[in-house]
Amino acid sequence: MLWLKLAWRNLWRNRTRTLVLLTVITGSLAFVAWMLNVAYGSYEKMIEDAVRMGSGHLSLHHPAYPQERLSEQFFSGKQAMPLLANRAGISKILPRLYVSALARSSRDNRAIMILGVDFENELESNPLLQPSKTISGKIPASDAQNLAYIGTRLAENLRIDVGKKLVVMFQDLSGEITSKLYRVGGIFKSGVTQLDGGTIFVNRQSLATALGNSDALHEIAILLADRKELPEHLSQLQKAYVGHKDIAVFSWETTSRQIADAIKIDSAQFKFMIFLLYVLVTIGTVNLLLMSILERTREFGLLRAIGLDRRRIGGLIFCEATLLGIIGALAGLVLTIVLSLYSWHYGLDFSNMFGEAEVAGMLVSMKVNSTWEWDWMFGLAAGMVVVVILAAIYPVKKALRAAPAEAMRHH
Amino acid sequence: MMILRIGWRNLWRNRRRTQLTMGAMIFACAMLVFSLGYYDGFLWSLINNATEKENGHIFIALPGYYANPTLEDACPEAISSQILPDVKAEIKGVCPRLQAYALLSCGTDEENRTQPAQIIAVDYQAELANSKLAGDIVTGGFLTGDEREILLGQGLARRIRADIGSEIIFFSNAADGSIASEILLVKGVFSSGENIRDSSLAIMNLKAAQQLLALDGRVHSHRLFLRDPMQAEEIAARLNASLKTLEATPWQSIFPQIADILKVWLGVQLFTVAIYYAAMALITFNTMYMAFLERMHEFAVMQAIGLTRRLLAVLILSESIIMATASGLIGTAIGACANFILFYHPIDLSRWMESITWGGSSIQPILFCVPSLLSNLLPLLAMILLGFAVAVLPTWRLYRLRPVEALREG
Amino acid sequence: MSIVSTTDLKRVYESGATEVKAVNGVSLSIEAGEFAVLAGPSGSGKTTLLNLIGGLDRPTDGSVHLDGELLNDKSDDELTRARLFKIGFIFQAYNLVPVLSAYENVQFILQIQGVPDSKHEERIMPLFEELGLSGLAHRRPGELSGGQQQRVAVARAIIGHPSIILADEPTANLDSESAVALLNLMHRLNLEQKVTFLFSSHDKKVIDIAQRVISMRDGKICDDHRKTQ
Repeated sequence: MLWLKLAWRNLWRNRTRTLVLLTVITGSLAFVAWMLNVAYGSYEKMIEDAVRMGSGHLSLHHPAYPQERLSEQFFSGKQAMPLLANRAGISKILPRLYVSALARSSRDNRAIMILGVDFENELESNPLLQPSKTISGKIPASDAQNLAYIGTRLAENLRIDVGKKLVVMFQDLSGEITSKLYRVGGIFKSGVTQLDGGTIFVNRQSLATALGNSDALHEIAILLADRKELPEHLSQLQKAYVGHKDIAVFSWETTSRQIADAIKIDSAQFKFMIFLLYVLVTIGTVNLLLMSILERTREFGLLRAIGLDRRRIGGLIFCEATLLGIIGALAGLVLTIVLSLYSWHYGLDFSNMFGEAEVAGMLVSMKVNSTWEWDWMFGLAAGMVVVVILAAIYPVKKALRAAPAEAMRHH
Repeated sequence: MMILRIGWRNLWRNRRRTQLTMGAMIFACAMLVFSLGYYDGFLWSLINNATEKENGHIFIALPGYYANPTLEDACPEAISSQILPDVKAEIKGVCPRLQAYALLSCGTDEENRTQPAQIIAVDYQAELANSKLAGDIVTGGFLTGDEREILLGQGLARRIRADIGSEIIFFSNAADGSIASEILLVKGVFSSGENIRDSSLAIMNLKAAQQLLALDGRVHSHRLFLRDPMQAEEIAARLNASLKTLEATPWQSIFPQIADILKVWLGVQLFTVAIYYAAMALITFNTMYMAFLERMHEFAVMQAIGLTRRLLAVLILSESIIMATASGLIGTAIGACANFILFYHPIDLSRWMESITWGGSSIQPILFCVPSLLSNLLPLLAMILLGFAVAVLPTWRLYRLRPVEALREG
Repeated sequence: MSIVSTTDLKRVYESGATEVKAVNGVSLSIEAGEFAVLAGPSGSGKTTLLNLIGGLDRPTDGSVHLDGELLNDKSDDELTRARLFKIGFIFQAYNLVPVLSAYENVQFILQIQGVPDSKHEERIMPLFEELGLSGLAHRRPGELSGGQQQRVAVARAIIGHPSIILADEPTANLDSESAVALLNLMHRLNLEQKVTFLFSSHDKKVIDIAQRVISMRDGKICDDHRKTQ
């Protein structure tokens, strides 16, 4: 215990210096850990928004579909749906059809994507199919076979409004070019160009019939109650569909590649900054420890004279470094928690700096609530302690190089 | 100048300490220069994608067209008379464009694949002279003016199973309401970097499109390529003064998200500098301060033998500033090198990720930096400022130093 | 039985281009119970010789024996152990660890020697009493006078029951009153408890009180006599 006492007291011999180093350690740890919580909070939101608008946490497709996205790559709903029934942890099952078509009004044409959905089913989960996004008309009822819910830009470009006619031309599953007539039931505004200008929602059954196969599906989007359970569900479903050649299970990371990539870039930039800060802390620690040790050269000579061997003295210095690291890390954690509490509860609002941003095909809101990434927080803190201890290696070597007599001559 | 010499040599009295501190400063500076260059590269790439490649810097069309493009809102092909000579000097070139949507079909019977596509019709010579459109060709070649040529986006070509030489049936509406239908031959396949867009984009010759769509002598837009992209807003304003029926829109209005980011750019850069340097400052400060305290006795002696406080203050300041400047110069040089290397040889990351749409443009999967004067100067100046700031406390203490006390301690 | 013996001991320093022969062929032996001083002007090599005997420095030539063991070929760690158990050191100044109290400074040695914690107090407190330090046990060196600090240093030197105590200019920083008190204290320890002392000093008071005076000049012994009672 005397060692600990000695190490502790030695730390505080030079208050200013120790406090400076502690500030650097605590400050950089808290900054990085807090920003990480904020960043993960924004990713969380992006992912949840993306899976709800896109293909869900998990999705079923024809194996080649995510790459090629061709109409003819469909699978049978009758075969797929039963295997999804009664699974705990699945909160939503959304069968969908995607058909690329040419939309024609009397005034102009547009290349669009027709989404065949079950309106009532999607109402609860799809952020686009919300009354708040509807700027004109309303979301078609689930039995409305010939009503389309279209984006506002498309409506402007084609110069059509609620109640007007919209013809779509596409190639059906037998290879024939076919047309279907819809009327505009409602107009939505999402803020994303691709959606507002090139997407319409229609009743899935009627679209399937027009395609020529009422059982065909391009996608079953699956929403999970807890995204953390994704790996288990993924493997369970993969096993369940093993016998079906036309059905494969995909995770959102494959189907919403852009979001996954956007998060990857942001994450990478982050990791880079973390690395930099750790390097700076290392250099700072080496520097300050070195100063502290050089000042005590004579004292170390004395300790060696009275019988402390090199190992013990080295141990003493490492003890000091460890204490420093632990205090700094703990203080940093506390500060992180305080900051994160604020940003978790109240959220951070960047919207006066940036408006809403369109990234990776989605509208990203500038108001972020941080999450609690405990494993990262503790990991970074532990890493900080390790860094400080490692930084002590060189100073210790220097302190013990001289013979005691030489050391005693210092001062 | 003796003072500077003393200052320099004093730095090297405690070699290891100076090396360490300078090491940290050089590292922080180099990293900062690199980071700023990387951010600049990101922004540059974004703007480039939004403008240089294809869209140009100023968009001239009927008022409201760019927000709401429709087939019938066409304008005259010849507009050079409407552009004043002084504005013409700023313009590198003009690319006229026509835009439509059609069904493209390839193959017969069971082999037939049909997809809707956006069609862009261009004057191939203007494009070759001004835009980088031709650079996107991956198979085959660019347009050569032959009436029946068509270029397909990579994704589109795959979808309709078309290849160089394949026959494509073009089906759409003309501007007068009649059916526009034609058979075209695939001359080349291109990849713009935006996979989703390439899956429904095709390019053909302007003349052919004009005939097909009953829009002879007319186009939908003129894309102006400027010598200085950042002048777009100003030049567009000047154009609008002289254009009679047409409207000129600068790229900043078409991509407000990018324009927004530009506005906060300086703020973001300063913030980054502040973060990096805050940690640096504390470390450096402590080193300098400790070094100073060690030499109290020496300073007292100097004062006793006749050096004024002012001179001593200059000495301390000069040591600090020399160290900071040297570190700043070396760090900036290293960071600038990294920037230049990545500017001429960007690293291709497409194995790990695809392009990401961003505010109408897209982020490409490349590691790319743009060296700029600001990204080099800012860290350097900030570092020198740091060197100055860090010496303030010791200097202040020096002024309060009483030689007698310090001599006794020694 | 000699506690310490040296044979033709030499220690040469290279200082740039010049050679300094700090100790230039010294052969001597210190017996148990002696109260001896290495005397001589500064630069005569006393401190260097003391360092060599104490294993703080290695000779360039010649040999040193401590308690019959040759020190020359011992490793650094072995030398340290030797110092821990067999030698007590007292220096001119800065003897104590500034952040430990007087009691803790002495306790330190026992801890490193491996003496169980329960035995510490019963060994230290009587010693403190004897040295007149009872009320000062919890004070830090900064709160003690020069004389008191040196007495704590003596306590620390003795607590481990060393074979010999080496003291390098222990009175140099003290005023005459404290110096005399310290010397008397050490003399008493020598007489009552048979603790062997070897000083290095040019202080007349030390030379007067010493029982054997070894005079040095230019790294060699020029005189060595024991005083008759």
